[in-house]
Amino acid sequence: MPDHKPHVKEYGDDLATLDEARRATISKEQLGGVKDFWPGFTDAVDEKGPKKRVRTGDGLIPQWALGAAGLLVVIGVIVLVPKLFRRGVPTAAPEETAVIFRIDSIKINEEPAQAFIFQTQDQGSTFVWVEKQL
Amino acid sequence: MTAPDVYKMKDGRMTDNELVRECLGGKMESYRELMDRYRDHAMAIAVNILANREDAEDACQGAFLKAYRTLAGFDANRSYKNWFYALLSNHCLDMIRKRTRFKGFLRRFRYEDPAAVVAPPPSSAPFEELDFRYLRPLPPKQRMALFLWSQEGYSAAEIAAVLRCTPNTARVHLHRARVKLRTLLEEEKNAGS
Repeated sequence: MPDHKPHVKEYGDDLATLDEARRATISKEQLGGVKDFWPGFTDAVDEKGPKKRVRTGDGLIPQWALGAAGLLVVIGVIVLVPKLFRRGVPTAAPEETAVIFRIDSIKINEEPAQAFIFQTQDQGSTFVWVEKQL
Repeated sequence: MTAPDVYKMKDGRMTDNELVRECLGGKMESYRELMDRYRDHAMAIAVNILANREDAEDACQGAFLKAYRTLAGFDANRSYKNWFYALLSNHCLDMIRKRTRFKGFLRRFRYEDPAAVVAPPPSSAPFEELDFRYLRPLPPKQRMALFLWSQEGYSAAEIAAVLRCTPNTARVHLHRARVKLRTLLEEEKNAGS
């Protein structure tokens, strides 16, 4: 049987070694002097200390959770209230609400102008850009 | 239950977790000590993930602030170092996601060749010496795994704790990074010969 061993790659041959990886990545030493983040930190932080959790009857709840819950309530009100008022009002069929957009020609100061129409990728918006012809 | 002894400092300095405790008690100087302790490490991590020094400085500034604000949620039985590294890497990945979304937004409205928008921003002159040519082709999580393994000597389990994934997923990130790096090195060698 022929010996295939010399042609078979050793395990790890297709992997970068530790030394190669060290040379490819940036070490702390390569950075030289690192900026002091303390002044920027003290400017940004309020002097009260780390954010406290709000104590409720059931225990501690992070402030962000209360904020998110409040935001959900506000969104709910904004979405639901108009729907309640619109009940019973017949809505137009999609064909009736479609807008046909057509430009035959555009003039600026009675001179023919160049028009560019941009359609966004989601096709939700169309932008028209008009320039004077030079 | 106290923090494991493995996190105790041998030179008599306060441990990270003791500093955290003091900081939660209102001692700001303790947080400064923590920042000084991890400033260089943090920059190295951020630079390796973002492959841009200025972005890395912004990321570190933001991550130190975020860590301070969420310090009350830190589990004292865990390593502060790994907790902070995880928070920082997450912050960097968020930055990349936002940057990608913004580039996508620009592409939708720009009339110029999209290739011009995708090109990485030129780094400022003093930092030209940092060589990102092997890092930029790798996805951020692979860069992170490669850095932690090669520069910090992390095991797959430790990488997993930072990347917040399973050790097997961390192994996959590291393996793919090493394969890609080997390919890049081979290509460079072939181009040179």
